[in-house]
Amino acid sequence: MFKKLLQFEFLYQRKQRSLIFLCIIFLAYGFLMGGMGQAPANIDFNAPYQLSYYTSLMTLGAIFITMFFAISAAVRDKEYDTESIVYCTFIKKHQYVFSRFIGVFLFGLIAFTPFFIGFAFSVSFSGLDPERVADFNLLSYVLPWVLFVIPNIFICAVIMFSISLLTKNNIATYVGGVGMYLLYMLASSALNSPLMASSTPPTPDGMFIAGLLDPFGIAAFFGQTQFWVPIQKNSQILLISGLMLWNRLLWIAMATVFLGLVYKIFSFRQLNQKVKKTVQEELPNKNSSIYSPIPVIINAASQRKAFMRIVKGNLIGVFKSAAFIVIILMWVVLIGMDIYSRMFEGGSYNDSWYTSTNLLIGLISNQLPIFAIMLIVFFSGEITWRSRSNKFNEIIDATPTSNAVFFLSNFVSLLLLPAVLIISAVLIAVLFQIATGYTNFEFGLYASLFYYESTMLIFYCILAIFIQSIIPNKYLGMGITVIAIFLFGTNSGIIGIEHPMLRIGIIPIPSYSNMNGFSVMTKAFTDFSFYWLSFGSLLAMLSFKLLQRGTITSLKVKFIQLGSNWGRQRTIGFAIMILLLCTTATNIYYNTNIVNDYQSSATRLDAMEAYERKYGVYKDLNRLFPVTINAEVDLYPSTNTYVMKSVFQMKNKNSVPISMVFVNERAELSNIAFDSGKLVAKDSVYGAYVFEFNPAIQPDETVQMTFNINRNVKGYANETAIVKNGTYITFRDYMPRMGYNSGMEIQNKQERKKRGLEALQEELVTESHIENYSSIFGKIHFEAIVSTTADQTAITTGTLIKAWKTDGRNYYHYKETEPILPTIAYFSAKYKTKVDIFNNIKIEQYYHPDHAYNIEKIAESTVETLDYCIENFGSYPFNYLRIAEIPSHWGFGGYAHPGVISMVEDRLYLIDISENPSFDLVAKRTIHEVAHQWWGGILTPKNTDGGALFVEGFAKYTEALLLEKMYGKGALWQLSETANYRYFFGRTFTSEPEPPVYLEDGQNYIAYGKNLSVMLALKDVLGEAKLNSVLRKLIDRYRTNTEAQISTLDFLNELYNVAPEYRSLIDDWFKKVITYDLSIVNKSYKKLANDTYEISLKVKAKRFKMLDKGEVIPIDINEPILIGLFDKHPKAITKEDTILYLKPHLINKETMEFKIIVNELPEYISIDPYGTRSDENFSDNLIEM
Amino acid sequence: MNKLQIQNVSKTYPNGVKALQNVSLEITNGMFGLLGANGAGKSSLMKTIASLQEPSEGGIFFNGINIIEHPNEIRKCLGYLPQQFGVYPKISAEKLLDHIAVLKGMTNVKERKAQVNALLQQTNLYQHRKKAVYTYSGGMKQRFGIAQALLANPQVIIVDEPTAGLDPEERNRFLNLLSEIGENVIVILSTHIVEDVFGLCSKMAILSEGNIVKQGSPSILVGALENQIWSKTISKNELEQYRNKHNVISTKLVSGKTQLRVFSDTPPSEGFVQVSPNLEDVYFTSTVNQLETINL
Repeated sequence: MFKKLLQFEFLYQRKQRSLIFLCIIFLAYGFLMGGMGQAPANIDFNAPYQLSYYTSLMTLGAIFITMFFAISAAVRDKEYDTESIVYCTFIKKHQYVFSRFIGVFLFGLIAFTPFFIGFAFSVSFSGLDPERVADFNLLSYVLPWVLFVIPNIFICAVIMFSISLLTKNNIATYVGGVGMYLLYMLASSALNSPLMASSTPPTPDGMFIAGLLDPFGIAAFFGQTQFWVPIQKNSQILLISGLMLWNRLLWIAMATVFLGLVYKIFSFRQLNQKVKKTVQEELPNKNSSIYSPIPVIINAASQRKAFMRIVKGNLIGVFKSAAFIVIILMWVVLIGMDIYSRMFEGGSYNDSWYTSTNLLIGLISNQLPIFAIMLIVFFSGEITWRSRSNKFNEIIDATPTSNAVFFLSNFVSLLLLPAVLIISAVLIAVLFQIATGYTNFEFGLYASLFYYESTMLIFYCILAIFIQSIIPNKYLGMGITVIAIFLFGTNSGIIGIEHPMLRIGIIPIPSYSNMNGFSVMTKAFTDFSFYWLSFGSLLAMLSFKLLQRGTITSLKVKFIQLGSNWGRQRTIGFAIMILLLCTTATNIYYNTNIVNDYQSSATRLDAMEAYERKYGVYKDLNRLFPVTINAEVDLYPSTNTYVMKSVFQMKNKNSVPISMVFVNERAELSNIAFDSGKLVAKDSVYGAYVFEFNPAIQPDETVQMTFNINRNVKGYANETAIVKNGTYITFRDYMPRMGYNSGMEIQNKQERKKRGLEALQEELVTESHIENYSSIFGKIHFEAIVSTTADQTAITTGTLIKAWKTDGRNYYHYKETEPILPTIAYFSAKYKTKVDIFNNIKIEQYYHPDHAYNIEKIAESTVETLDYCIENFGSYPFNYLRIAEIPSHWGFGGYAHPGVISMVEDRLYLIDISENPSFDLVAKRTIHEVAHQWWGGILTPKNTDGGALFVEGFAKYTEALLLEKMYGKGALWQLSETANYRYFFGRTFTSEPEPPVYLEDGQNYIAYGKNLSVMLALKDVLGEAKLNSVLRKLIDRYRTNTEAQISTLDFLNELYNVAPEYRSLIDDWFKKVITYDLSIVNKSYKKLANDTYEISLKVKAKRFKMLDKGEVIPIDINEPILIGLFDKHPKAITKEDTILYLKPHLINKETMEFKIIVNELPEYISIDPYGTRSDENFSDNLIEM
Repeated sequence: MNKLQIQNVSKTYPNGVKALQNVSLEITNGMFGLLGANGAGKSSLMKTIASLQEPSEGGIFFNGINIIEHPNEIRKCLGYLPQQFGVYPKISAEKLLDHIAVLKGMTNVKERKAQVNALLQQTNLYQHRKKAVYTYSGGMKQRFGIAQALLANPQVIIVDEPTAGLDPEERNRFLNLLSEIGENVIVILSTHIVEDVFGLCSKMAILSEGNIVKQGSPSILVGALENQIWSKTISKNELEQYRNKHNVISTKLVSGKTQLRVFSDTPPSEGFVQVSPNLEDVYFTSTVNQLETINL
């Protein structure tokens, strides 16, 4: 019997149209993903990791798949009225439920599996870089199938089948499916799952919880592989172990139990007893009032009333629907959580933000589009089909309500739904502000959310209604709308649509910062809004034309209808709209393609290739370097314009004469000349200039270069440098590049091969390379006159010699007598200033008047840093130190120019430090940038491998020293934790084998990550004083050099001198790639007679070395490492606290036991509590007593 | 006096079905019965008059206004009860009536409320006014349908198969209500039940295969058949024989035997007795003739 039932189930489900449809979809997806050629660098496109990655994400589609089969399995009897027939047969409950469930599950598997076929096929035949396609390995396909596909289809099948079985309603099943997606996303974001790109690195505990709770196992997969380096991702098959194993077991068990429960609850045969409850009629009562007709007048007022009434009716209908309630609840919870999790200790250093309106708006507008689009898609169908699907349309359509009212009321009702989202989000944001005591409610700013977010949504509403009016089926219409919006709009890159005019409904939304207000993109916003809205009004007119009362007609008839019966007025209106569309389109095209040089990714590659072919010959041309820079800079922030006249003295620092100079402009030059050079070629496409010198410039000879820039922002350029308030023009924006720009070379190997370009040479970095590398990059003399508008202050490097006003403009004359690096920047804004004097150094702070929260803290940290650095590392070269705020559109934390530091609004001024007493991000960032005046400024390393140690490594080391001094050891914990995570996470994306610290070559994970760990380890073995004295020695030796000459070898030699006994350890840290796995595995204690405690602990310590090819092998350990006993978490140790015990112990075996006697019973025991060793799992260094 | 003129209206659907062919009628105040079998084109005609679809040819004029060109002119004074209708879920009868009243242009809250109450009482729905129409039984829903059709000031009331699914008592009550109202306005009642038309309608038309085959006052139509209807009870197996010989307009089974009704100017043959004609005979004679003409 069961067998027969299963056979029938097969027969039935096999004939579902959705089966073919789903198979094709997943085959196509597999094909698409396989041929995409997207994988992190050095990972094969079909690497086991990559396959598991794609498969795990694709199984999110299991909800979608099983939904279809569940409906056809469980709802079909109800739908086709065969319930009574089926229930009258001999079939037993278990036969009924399980035969149908197995059908859902198996067909789910059948529908998904074509994904692999598509992938395998396409990865082999799509002409991908053959070096990155591994040989076909069945196991790497079978494993993700077993690990993700089977369990996830099973889990989803259970859930979807249960919903349809219990509700016997396909709408409920659809809603359940959508709800599951939302719930999943919500939970992922709440648990900070790695699935959601979040600014915060997950904590190991959080990762474990998220990994366990993710029913799809995606978070577990990420957790298990987060620190895998490319070689592992290419070769290691994801094994069913650890987190992954537990996750799979847990969820399969949960799903099984759930299915069992549903089986219990489901009452077979009784279902059809549940009849619609009808009202029982009573005997007629006596009429108390008699019907009489009431004449009415149909006029504009009555139509207006009807309009209001339909909108109201629609909205009530929507608000009562389960789908809307689910979406709104999700939205409210998501926004609340999102704000909470970012505002309170949600930053990368667990830092908090002030609940400033612009930050809240940023968070809201990140989430808004997806929710709004979801509402629009779903309810466009529900609202436009409302009367039809309820079969109420003939009554409604026979009323004298005009077509325009029907059309507009539906449109307005739909449009109000996103408004509900915005309003509720604003309310939540305001509640947060009230709760945190923030009283500056900028409702105008909140209103901008409506203004800037709405045009896109209005267009999508029109689009959705248009689609619903031509497609004669509600659900098909919804599907087409989704495809139109996501595939041709928001994610059009997938199918290769790049040009902004072709991306349906996409309107650039200007960014907002408190300093600068809305960015210059407002122009683009307005133009694109007009463009899409005029297109929208065309669609609206067509949908209005298609609006039908009474009988429904087929698509074909609708098209005939569309073409016929155009009245004169309509034709004129339509023509006007077309005209408007053409005008705005022309305007946008002009601004995008003509004023600004629009390049698609293909034409950009073409341009890069052409540049390399044309100018590659100048690659090895010797270069001139500036020695003196004189500039006159006139800033016109209100018109986004600046004029710069520069005179550079350029010196031939090479040992051979230079007869030819190649210059590449950055900002467009209006003029460039050398006093003794002749311009022989100028290429306005690439902004390239070739000068010839006859006679040649001799070594050490200096020539004068003058250039002018007349920059004004045109078209839709997203200008960040010269803006209305908060101008920040750095050398990267304007300083012409002396020589060939190898950054313009195509890096992708396959692409180079395709275009017949020579393969790029990989440089082999050796010690002799950095030793012999002669860096002729050096310091300069600088003088500038900067002017700006009367209400702004202009800042740059140099002593302010004179400031005056002419013609209603402010002029400033700056001159620096000390040699400085040519990393000059110009600032201008309506600044408020605060000046502190320390040691004859004027500490000048320039900040946005509303951002005064952290000013005292910045001043204090600056003084501390100056004090410490001057004492330990030598004198500060200038008599001023300026710290200037720049708008939040800059994506970095801060930048140290000579004597001037730029700091970004939300990354310093809006950080709320009152929440976290043991770690102060404001102080940290201030210390870091001030320290750069020494590290990078005074001590400038050679521009070669390992240089970042001097710049970022030492600055981070200084951070650690000062934070410890200011706040106690606890601050070190956070610093190390972040650095450690950055190191392990960053290196998983590497494309080259990881270099050791002293040969770092642009790897940020070393610069900001491992550098700190090794410096702290060094500090622990040498002591702060000894290490500082090494640094001091280097500074003293190199500070007067104008050329950058120091390399990491000099530093290491100095270390060997002061600590010969640690030479091999120093080499391990700096010259090899060594990682650790330290943990405390066991602990116990004994109370001793004299009221002391003997703590016994067992330590596990492993060391690993990475070989040249990326292979990792275990090696011996033999070094002193700190062991600490604490009465509170090591991160909470402040300056006032004493640590029970913190001493180095020699660790020379993999497992070691220690006994330590202390006066108090500790709460925590830790090995290497402050993270001086690079350890993937830092959290198991610590154990609670 | 309202006047609805239907002139040479034809309706052909996109799939080629000819629902109405050259229909012409003139309807004035009072009940007008439109009789026809299922699929005869009644609903098509009703929908066309109610401006829910446009005729392929022909014109409809209400008090002289061309309502095909100006559909809102008929909608302003239309009460329409479709053959089948649903309602929005979870909305009470009172609220839904109020909603439709607004759409019908009743802007005055007081008037609206008063009329809705009166209609609820008149249709005996008052005590259920707070309940969702969705939960009503068939008869109650049908009465709700008539209530909404009567909202505002309808001059043309079109009710399409209103008595389908009603029990005899409900049907009586319903038709009484219609006839009360029908004194001063046009009421077009479409039905396939002959009895509904006879007592109630002052005028009627019979629609068959999209054509008007007869129209006039029911009593005159019936009177025209006087002396022409004959009846005989025969056994079942003789039927074929009689059909060939006589103009059989209807057959009925009476206690196992077949009772024939035959149309003939002269007494057909022995055994036939003359009977007085009824509206059913009018209906059958006209539709049978129609069939014959088509068959030719």
